[in-house]
Amino acid sequence: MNQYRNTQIQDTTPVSSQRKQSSNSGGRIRKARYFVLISALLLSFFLTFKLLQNQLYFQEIALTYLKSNNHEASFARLASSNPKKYQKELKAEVDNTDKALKAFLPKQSYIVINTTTNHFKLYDADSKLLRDGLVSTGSFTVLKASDNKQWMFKTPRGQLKVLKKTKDPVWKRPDWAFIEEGQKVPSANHPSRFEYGTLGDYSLSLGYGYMIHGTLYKRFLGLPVTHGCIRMGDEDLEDVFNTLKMGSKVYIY
Amino acid sequence: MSQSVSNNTGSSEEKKQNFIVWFLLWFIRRPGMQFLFLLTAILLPAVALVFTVILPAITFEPIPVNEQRIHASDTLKTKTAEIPREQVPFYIDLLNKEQKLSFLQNRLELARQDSIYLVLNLQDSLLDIEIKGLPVQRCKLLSVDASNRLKVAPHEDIQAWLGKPFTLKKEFATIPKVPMLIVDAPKDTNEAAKLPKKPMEPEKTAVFFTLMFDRNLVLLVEQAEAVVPEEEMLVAGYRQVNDSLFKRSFLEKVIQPMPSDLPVFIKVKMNEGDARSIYRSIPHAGVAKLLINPLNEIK
Repeated sequence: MNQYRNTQIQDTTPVSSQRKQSSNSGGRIRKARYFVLISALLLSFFLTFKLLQNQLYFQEIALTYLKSNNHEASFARLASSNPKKYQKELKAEVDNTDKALKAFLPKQSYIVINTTTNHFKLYDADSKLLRDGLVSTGSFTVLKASDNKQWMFKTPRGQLKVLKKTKDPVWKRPDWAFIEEGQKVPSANHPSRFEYGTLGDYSLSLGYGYMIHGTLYKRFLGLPVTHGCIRMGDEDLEDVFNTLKMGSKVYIY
Repeated sequence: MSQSVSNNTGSSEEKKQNFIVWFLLWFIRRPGMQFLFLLTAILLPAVALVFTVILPAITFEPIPVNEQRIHASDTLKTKTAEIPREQVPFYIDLLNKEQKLSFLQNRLELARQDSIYLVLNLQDSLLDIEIKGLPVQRCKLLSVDASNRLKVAPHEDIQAWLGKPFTLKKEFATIPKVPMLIVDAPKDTNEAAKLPKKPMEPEKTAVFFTLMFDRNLVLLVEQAEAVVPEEEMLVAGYRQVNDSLFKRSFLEKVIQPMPSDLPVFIKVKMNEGDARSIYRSIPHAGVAKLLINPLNEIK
């Protein structure tokens, strides 16, 4: 009996521990399952978020694999007409359009001026670069006068032409040149309007009062400081003056 | 007391570590649980991938074309007659000639106008500034990242899309379009003498700009040079504006994954000087034009 008792006592202890252990392990397993589910859901949301965030990128990849640039429709269109005749027409049209386009290109020497970097490039009729260097172009200053008048000092852009070439030009100061210096504006042909030597040895008129000319302020070459004209160094100006002819094209951008 | 607290913390950390080790061993031994984990993790993104990427991509027209053209193209497709294989090079030659003609006609049209325009040549990685048919500046593109849509769109659609010059609708940049300085005229010579005579120094600001054209074309131009630390904020601001312009909400992305007006992006990198010259030289929105050289010779 005692032995039986002892055995019972000996047996009950591991059973309760086993129960405790199994309830512990059940809790752990439940916890682990929740953990798996929650982490799977979080990963799922994260992947979906990333997919939608980079949707355009994935769509581009999908398009690469799902679409192919077939020419079926183009072939069908061409086949529906007379292809041989169409080929001849196309060739003629390409040649004509090319010819029409070439007619716009300069037939004689020309100059290209970049108003952003304040550089120029002088080319001959075959588009061979002859000279390049610094210029000064419009400062983009807006001068506001008291009588509601204002001037914007910018160099015009596009294709212009040399309209007049002058040696030893004289500058006839416009109204803004006086207003800018706080002086009274004189009459139209007042002697104070005429300045000698300011424009250098040569000038090439581009119309609307704009010119390519020399400068006394050589240290400012390469900077946007002018009232809209294009200033050049003496040697560059001489070369440009001798190379460009009347009607030569001046490209400004 | 403090000792007992530290002991408690130590034991709880130990318990956590034990649990993690136990969990990993438990998870490794249960393939069913692993399968469930993968299934749960992948199901939603897979559904999103199918419904917001793959299915819309199947029906999507890579290049935005008008309704009329789509129908015309469908009609042609239905009429497709088998072209003998030996005649294919002849037809391809015709298509190349058509492309060339269309490009030349557009250049001619732009040359007839007085405006400065851009010509983008993706094949040779060049962006030219042209005036009256003459490329006055040739800018080498150091990197080009064009949308795949241009490569996979049917030739007829690409041809129609490139069929006329693109017109600039909107632009924004890290630099001002016109570096304008407003000066009030001095009242007298004394006041004039006091005005600063020193000219503006050449600009060195980072150049990044976005040109939004019609037909959903967006050209992003970036300088290739690294941005100096002082200008990082400026560039970050630009990128923020850029992102906000093209950003779509998650709901929009789910409801309408690929709308017909989805922008066609072309991102290019070039020298800072070239980028500045381009941005300053092109006319304002509504007037500025861009012409794209045929993307590739058809083979």
